[in-house]
Amino acid sequence: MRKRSPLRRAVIYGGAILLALFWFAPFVLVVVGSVLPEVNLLSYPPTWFADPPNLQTYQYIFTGKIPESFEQRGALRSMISNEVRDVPRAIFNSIVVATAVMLINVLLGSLAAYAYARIRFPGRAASFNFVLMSRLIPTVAIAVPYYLIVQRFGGINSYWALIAIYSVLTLPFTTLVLTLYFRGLPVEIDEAARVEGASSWRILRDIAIPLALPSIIGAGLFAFMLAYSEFLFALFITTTSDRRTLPVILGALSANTDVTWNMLMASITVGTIPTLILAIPVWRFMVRGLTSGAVRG
Amino acid sequence: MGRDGKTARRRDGKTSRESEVVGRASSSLSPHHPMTPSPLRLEGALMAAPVLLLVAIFTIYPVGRAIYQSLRIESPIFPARFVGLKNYQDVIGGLFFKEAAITTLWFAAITVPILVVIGVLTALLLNESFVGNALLRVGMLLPWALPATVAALIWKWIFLDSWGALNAGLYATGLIDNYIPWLTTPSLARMAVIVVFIWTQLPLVAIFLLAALQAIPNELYDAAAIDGAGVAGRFWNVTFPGIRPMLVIVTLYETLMAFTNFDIVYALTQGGPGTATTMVTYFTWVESFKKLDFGKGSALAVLIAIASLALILVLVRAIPKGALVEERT
Amino acid sequence: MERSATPQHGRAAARRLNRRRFVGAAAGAAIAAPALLRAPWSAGAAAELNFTVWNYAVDIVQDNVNRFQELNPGITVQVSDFGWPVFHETMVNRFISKTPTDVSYNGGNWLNEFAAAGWVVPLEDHFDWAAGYQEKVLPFAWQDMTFNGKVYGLPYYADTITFMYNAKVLEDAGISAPPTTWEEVTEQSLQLKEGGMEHPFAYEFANTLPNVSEAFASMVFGRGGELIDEENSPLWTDPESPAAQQLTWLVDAKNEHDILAILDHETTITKAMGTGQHAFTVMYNYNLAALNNAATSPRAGEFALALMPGETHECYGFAKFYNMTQMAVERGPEVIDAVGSFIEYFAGEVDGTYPVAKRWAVEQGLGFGQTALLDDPEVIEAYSAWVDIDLWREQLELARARRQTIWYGIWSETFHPLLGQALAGEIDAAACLQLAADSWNELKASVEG
Repeated sequence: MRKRSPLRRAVIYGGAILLALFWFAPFVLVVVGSVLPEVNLLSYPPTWFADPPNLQTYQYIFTGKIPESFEQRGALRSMISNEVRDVPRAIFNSIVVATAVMLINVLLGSLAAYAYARIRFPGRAASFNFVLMSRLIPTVAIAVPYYLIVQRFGGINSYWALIAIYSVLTLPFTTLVLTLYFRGLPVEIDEAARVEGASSWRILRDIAIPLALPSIIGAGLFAFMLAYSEFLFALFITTTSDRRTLPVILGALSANTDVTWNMLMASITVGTIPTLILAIPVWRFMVRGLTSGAVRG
Repeated sequence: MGRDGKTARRRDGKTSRESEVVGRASSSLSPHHPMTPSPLRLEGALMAAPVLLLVAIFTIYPVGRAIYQSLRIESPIFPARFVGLKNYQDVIGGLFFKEAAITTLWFAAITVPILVVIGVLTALLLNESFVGNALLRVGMLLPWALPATVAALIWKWIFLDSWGALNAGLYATGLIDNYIPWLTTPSLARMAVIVVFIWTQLPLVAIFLLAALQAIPNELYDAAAIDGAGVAGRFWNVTFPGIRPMLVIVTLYETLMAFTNFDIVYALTQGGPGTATTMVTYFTWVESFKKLDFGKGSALAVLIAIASLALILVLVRAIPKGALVEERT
Repeated sequence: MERSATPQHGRAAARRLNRRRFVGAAAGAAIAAPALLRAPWSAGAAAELNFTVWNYAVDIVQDNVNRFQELNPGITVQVSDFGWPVFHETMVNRFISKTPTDVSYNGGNWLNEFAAAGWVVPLEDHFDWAAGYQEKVLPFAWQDMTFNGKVYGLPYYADTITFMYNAKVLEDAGISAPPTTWEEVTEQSLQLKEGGMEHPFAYEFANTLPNVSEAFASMVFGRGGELIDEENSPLWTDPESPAAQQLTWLVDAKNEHDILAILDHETTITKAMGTGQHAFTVMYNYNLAALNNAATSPRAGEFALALMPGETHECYGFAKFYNMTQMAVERGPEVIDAVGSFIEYFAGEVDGTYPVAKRWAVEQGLGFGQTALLDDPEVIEAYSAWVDIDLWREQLELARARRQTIWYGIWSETFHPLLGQALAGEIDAAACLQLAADSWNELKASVEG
């Protein structure tokens, strides 16, 4: 490591602290908000910490035990919506859908990418451009036709409809990234294998995919995260709470008159945990995959 | 660029992979032909078929339908008929279109340069070793991975006029005596939308630029240092050329994102106050689902798609030749 | 055997639709076997219903559905709930794509649009008991559920948009009585502002909020005005009209006097009022129950109702109601029967009372359209906890519905951003009124031909 002057160190740490504040302070505020009684959050002048923090909001989400402040009944009943209790289920739905999208991306994406990177076939350039350009269309514009297609195939309120749509939305990017990666692999390996009579399928399975595995996993996880956070199509296609994905539930909670801010903050915190868990492997595979070749300068 | 050039360029022997990645910009990202004369193989088409089929189903019909609708009055309330380009005229001459178009352009013009500059600085920072670097790298994926509506929701709680965290914090520390109406003052609301957009987009920009940075061989820096280059000299002679292709990609991508940004505005300001933060995409939604005018909604969508395409072509043309294809490993 | 199980209303005889299609009759027979055990209002139809709601207190909705299902073992109800700000577009999408939807919440502001599109059907075309409820429902609620002379639903709830204030804040400032005119609202606000309150009037406004034009109508009604005349032409083009004056009042309050805080949702207002930073607001009346709720509102008990300021103190009354869809009709007689039973249980008279509407009133403070509940002791007791009953009744008697047109909902999507522009100072009140009228006339012309 090069030696660094004190000034340089100060700049680096100053920058790091600013960045950490910008990125993480909102999350800290969300977590803080989730454990304080709402009356404190709403106080003016602000007295957030007048009462001790508690975990009752989380308890309600997972067990249904109603927090003390909500236990009044009758006309003065504090409103509470059991919709926040849909959060764990919504996380599950999101994970199911996003995992399937990831697998499809890994499978179909590497197939297509290898073909585009290494095999000449009729219509290659045109179809590659077509796949990439498909993402230029604003999603709002095609929401209704998408919906009609899904409905034609009986996919309203189904996992597979979401999986199909998210695959369509993520595959172009996956294909691009993996095409770039495969193209970066030494051609000599392919050629040597071909001389020995290997088919394209075998080269892909035995040589290209093992070599590209980190990038493939990275691209898959990238697709996972996009699928995990998509809102518009999930809003239209899921019609019952047992099928709704996390963004839809959180979106509905934010507009739900019965949901207090601390309950909303707790829901956001819970909903963010899977992302947090995934962040480490995504970083390992995606960013390293990028670094190790695919999009090198 | 054929194999010969590639082999010759792999001069430092540091990596076995070739560097030229993104095809010539002018051929709009079409795949390169690394193996010059090789036989046409049908299995290639077979391998690409599933992706192609899936994308085609969900592209050709929807786009065709959108274009068809954009030429008609399509509403459950008004009688359907062909009107040619009238929808386009109505949309462009409509009440809010001009303001929204200006706001959108202005939004992109401000956010994209900020993102690129801060993105470069962030990537440079993360490329240094310091305590907490790993935490910062991994943690920064969070803002990007959140649904945009949730990101907006989190920031809404911070900016909210009456009891937002920012006002509470500023008040508690005595910095202000009266709460500031962040979201209902036009200039502040615009700033809020920009901040949230940058918050969600900066991680991706930084990651991609960091990836590009890490691909620059240390030897180049060492050589520059031997030549006596200072910090600025090293940046302009080594770093900048190294990340230039990625800068181009990131700029294109973020321009597109800024152009089609919808969720954040929808959740944070609903386009207000007034029309201060109303973007063009928002009207696609309003025309179709709120005003039940699918013809005008489609016309708007087609316009946005054309504008995006045109913008990208202009940007691609504006890039100096060779910016995307590097002669270096 | 299905007819025999429906002794109450002779629905079969009344239905003007033919009953040729007996979809799933055999299955219906099997499930409808224990018909004799049922309460008299229960139906014999065996059907699965899809019921769409906006997500207000969905747990209570589900609980009500469960009770209904217990009483009607042949009917299962699937509740689909959607956010209030996206409810209109969600329903439009469902109707266009024919996503199964049998009975749905609806409101007067969307009724004309949905009915004109042929998505929802009049109750009285299918059920003979429907018209009879006219005497049992408050007039403004009935009017809000009526389109082209036919009633389309029975009320889920019916409420008013009213003027609320923080009595303690006024008292502390030495103001003895709440404002009775909009000029007094300005005066008192300025006085409070001098005392250090930045924005005394909390105004609910967002471009996407359906309530904005309704609340505007309520304020105009307070001045004794209307928005449109009998020919459906706009009245606000006259600068002396109550509508023009009220719009000017709002714009001046924001830009000249700076007494308006703009908040995007009733929940936000309720919470902001609870911080004590505002003294006045205009909202759906049930929000007063939330304001005076000790569990969530730090200033519970300080808030009170005042008659809508203006010359006549009238206010806007509306109904949100259960509406049968065309899709249900197309599914056949069993489904129609089941929807009938459903609407009757949820909004009709059951054993001389209205269990569901009453529950909403008692537990949530929602208003109601069923006249009988006005004298219900439990309702009165519950309401007394958060509102001055006599004043509330006085305001309710002054409530009236709005004239509705097919294009009202569509027009409001143009009106809201225009009002927003005026409030933000981008255009002046006169320009806002003119542009709103232009948009109205254009829509009117394209609908009327």
